[in-house]
Amino acid sequence: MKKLTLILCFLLGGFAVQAQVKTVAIKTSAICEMCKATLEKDLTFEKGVKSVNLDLETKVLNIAYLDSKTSPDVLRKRVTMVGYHADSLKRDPKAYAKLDECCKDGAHDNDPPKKKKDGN
Amino acid sequence: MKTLFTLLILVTPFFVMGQNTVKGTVKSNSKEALIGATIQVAGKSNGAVTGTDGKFQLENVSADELLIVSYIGYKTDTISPAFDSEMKIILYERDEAMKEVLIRGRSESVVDEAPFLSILITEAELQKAACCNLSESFETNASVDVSYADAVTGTKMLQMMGLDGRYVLISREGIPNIRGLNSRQGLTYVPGTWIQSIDVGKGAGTVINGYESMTGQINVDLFKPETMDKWYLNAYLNSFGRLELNANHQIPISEKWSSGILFHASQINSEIDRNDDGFMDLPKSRQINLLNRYKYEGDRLMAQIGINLFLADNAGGQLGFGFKDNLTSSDQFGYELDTRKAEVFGKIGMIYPNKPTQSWGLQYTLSYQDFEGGAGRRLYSGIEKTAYTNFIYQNIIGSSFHQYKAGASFLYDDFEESFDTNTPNGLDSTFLRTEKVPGIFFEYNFIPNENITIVAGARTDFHNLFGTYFTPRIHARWAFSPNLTLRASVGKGYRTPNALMENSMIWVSSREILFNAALQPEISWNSGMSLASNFTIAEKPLSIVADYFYTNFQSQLVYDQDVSSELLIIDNLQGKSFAKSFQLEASYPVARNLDMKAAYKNYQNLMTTNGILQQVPYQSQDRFFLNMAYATNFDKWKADMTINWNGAMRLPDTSDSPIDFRLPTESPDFYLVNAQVSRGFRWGSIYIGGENILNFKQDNPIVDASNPFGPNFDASMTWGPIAGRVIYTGFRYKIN
Repeated sequence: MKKLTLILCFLLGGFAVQAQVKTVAIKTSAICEMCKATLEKDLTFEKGVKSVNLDLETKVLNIAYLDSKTSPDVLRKRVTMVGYHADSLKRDPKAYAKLDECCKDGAHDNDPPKKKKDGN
Repeated sequence: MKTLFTLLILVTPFFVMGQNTVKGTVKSNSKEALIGATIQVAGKSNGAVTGTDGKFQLENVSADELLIVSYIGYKTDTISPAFDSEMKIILYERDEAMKEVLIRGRSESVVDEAPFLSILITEAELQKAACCNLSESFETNASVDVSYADAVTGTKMLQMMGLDGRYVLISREGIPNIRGLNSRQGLTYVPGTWIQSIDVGKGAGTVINGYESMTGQINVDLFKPETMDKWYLNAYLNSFGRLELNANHQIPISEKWSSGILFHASQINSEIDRNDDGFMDLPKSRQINLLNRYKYEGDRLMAQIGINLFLADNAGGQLGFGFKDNLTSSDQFGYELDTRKAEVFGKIGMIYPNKPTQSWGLQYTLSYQDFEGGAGRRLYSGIEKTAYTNFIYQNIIGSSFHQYKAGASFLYDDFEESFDTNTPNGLDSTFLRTEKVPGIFFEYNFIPNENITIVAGARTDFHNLFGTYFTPRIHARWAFSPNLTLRASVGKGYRTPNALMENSMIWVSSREILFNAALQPEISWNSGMSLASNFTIAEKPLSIVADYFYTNFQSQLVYDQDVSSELLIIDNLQGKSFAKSFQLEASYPVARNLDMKAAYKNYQNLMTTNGILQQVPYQSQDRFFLNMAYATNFDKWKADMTINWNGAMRLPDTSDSPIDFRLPTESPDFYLVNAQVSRGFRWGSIYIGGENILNFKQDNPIVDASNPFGPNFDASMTWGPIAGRVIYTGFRYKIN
């Protein structure tokens, strides 16, 4: 049992850091579920990030972070390194080139109307 | 996951009412055309199969109907037809759907469309219990139990339906792999980090892979050149002093050729004796294992060839016995097993662009393995040379509702074994056996609609030693509703036992060995039923699977310890032997990040030993299993705990032993608890965990341990763990 409590402490220890949690909203160029997953996954593992959620409708990435460990500028920079625009910052072209085809510009222009607001 | 990623992409939907023609292509998520995918109109008999470039055409479809698009290994999709332009349908791979960006998927699940009761264990599930090789890959799976062979060799054995794992065909990518002289030790020569996924099939398996799947089939898929990470490095260390290094490396060669290397090295150099009986609880060991595979993928022809080489040494027994010590001249009771294996294996397959439903494939393996070792004064050596090839042709009869596979196989298996007890009247023999088994098989699949599958197969093998084997098997699946699936199966199976290597009872006790009969194949009939159901409770999926299997042995090699505590009688079954197994398993996500899985298992396994039909020894009649899996998004944090309760087991009759050496008639029941925590990073993960955390150990697992060369010594009456708690840690590092 002693080992068990130890493991539990180890687990909880990760969350017990005392610092202020702030949120930031970053407008991105994400266009599909794959983009959402790629961005959310990458930012989940970014230092200081507590939670990540991308709203595909608005393309806004909402991040809760610890202001003692990171800043909105660092997070925006990271988004560009994943291959997406972040507010006024341009995406990193190399990272963009590596994205899955379905995340490239125009990949979803022909999608059925329920997904996109195409005129026809 | 589900709806979002199984999304189809169809172009410009001008819906036209009425009957019409649908055209389109089916591609995989990696943009490859899927040839031979089926498109079926839901509830109707018309359907189509994709041809070259994944194209299909389907007549007489109306706009209010639905198309069901399926392909083996991919998630089935249901979509509305589009008429005036070509449909572009994308199917996602089942186990690798969104591999890199997986949010959280169920990592172990019953394969819904399979005609067999089949449970897929993915890489994510395997990582929940980080140690070490195939014998430890089932810790979070309720259908496979792990038991302890004896108190000297450190071997863990698999059981399915309460029966020894030797009745399960363990194949590597369809090729029978862990069998023959390897059936007890072979699991430890498949490193855990090499395994991409494991398919656990309960009940007699398909006839395509041979007659040996008597109670089930476990198919192991290793990482293949195209699915590997560029680099995958793993190091592991545990409190027994086991150190492991694993490396997987992908080598792209050209557009059509690719290669991958899997490497493993491990050792335990320290001597662990936690129960102070003077014996190492598990042997010292070292292993080097290498697999290199080349793959060619052309437009029509696909081929691969691989080589596997390994060297493994074990040294155990009394404390101080080393790798280089001599068993017969040492004062100590030692244990040694040194083995080397070289294997070449591969596949060749061909598809026909203008006949997409037709294909053929050829699998082959060629191997040499030798063993040298023994325990105490009992010495063993063995050489096995195997050649196996299997040709499979696949086509449809008229439409995709009638599919068949037919083919032929040939097995050459040459055994050269010797065993010497080094006692005046004891066993001292050489066993030579060469099996040559050509066989033919045919398997018919009747798939009238997506709710019903019937697989009827039969094979005939012409065994040079044991005559003709006829192996009929039938499997049926009926999905009453999307949430309720009934499966049933019946099948016959055969195997040749290898008494000297299969059962360590022969090695690690002073019991005199009596071989009473000439070798016969083991023959069984297995039949079973299962019901899998899915409910939605509080908007979350509750899955319940109940199964019942009955295995009846017509012929079996029985290791009888019940006649006398001084004897081990190895004889063909005289009387009855059967196993009834019932399992009820439920899984449910109790909270957003917490999945729970629970199972109850009941085994009624009776075998005739000492002339009495009685419970098989060392086997719990009741078992309970509970697994809790916690994970945050993208597995940044993961915590797992598995609790196994093992009910009491019958122990062999020892009433004729001196009073100090008698065992109770039953073992106590006990709990085993394993847990692991891991933290993910962009580059991989680190983990720390423990097995047998409650530190449960069998008391005095060795009878008369202080006098190993005396008449009462017996280290084979093992029902529980020997070594107790182990804590481990390690990391996984990936570069792409």
